[in-house]
Amino acid sequence: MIKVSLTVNGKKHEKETAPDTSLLDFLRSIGVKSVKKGCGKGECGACGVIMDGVYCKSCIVLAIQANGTEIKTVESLGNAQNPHPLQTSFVDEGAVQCGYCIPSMLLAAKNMLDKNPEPDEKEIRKSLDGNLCRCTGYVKQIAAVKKAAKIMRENKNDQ
Amino acid sequence: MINVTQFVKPDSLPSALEELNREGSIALAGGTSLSLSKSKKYTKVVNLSNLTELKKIETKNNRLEIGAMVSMTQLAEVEDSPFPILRKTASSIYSTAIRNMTTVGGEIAKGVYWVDLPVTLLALDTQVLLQNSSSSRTVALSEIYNSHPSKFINSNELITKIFIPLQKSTSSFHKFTKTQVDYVLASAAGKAVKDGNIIKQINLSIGGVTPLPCLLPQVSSQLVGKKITDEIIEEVSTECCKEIKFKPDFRASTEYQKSLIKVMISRVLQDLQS
Repeated sequence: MIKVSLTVNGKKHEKETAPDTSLLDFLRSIGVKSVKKGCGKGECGACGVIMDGVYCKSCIVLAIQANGTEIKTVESLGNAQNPHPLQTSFVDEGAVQCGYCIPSMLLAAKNMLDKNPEPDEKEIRKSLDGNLCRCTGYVKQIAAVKKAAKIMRENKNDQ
Repeated sequence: MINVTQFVKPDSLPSALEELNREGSIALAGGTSLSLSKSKKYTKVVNLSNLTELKKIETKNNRLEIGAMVSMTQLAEVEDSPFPILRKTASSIYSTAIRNMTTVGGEIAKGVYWVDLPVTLLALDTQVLLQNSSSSRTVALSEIYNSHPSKFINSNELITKIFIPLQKSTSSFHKFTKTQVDYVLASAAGKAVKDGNIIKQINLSIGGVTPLPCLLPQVSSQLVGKKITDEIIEEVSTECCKEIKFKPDFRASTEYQKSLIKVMISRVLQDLQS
């Protein structure tokens, strides 16, 4: 067993774990259930997190590799009382059906918008590649990201 | 991975190489392959993520030097790259989340049929710097791939940099996948040095259909001294299949693989024509 210590959404966590534990399984074992397990081998994208500012698939990151890092999950974006524009737009556009892929997809979009506040459709599609959704057909999610980008730009201009 | 008892994160290349010199050690770059490894032979993981000296892309001594820890995202975002096909290849690989993690060194060391970057690097005459704690050697990537990275690179050696010679040339890369994130079914790359319209030197390489990406020296040599015409493209793209030892693929019959390679090579040659 190896001790892993990391920060999730600003809160420190420390736990002993087997050396081959993925970051995904580690996060779920400490109660972070918004990070979903789909394929477990880096293909479906349901387990995306932001690790030290880098969007990655937590099923193909070792927990011990994430030792000392700052992890952000969908909870870092907003909550029901104070949602992030991405969360509002996904709801408004009907971009969420079963919801399994959504936490990771929101983080993928957030990661892209932080670098590129004015993306075109091609860039939005590229940012969501590798995030499989079996319900929506992606059209509404692309519309939602476009809408969120516009709201975020307007909010920034108002500040 | 289950027998790993030590996990170290050195701050300098010499100490990383020292750590790798011990039996049972394995280097962790992006971790996208190692995290899925079921191997029981490793007892220590050496995480290379603190080695900032391996995350640089520089132009030195008339060659492009790329650190082994440069990620695909980093490679895809280089502005004014002397080799736009490096950007094209890197940005076509897997998905955003994986491009953020997977590294140049890792892509070379993987030694699997579905890697894309080595196809382009082979065409670009890439040299690879291998270092251990006491010595280093620079070898052609084609030499590593004529063998297999796992056999050619010693267990205490690390890919630290790659070198691509800078020369006035035209290059191209094309691949075919069923979806953006699927494993490649067939790919091809090429680099041509021309005198006017006449080819002075050319490298064609392919991936996806052989156990490892490889160069096509025979058809490449047949093109030297010639102008690329539509007839030559037709001839070469058909002829090249004779040089390729196609691997069995449950996703594609050999006939289908041949058709794909023909299209990929044609597209590359069309780009090299201009």
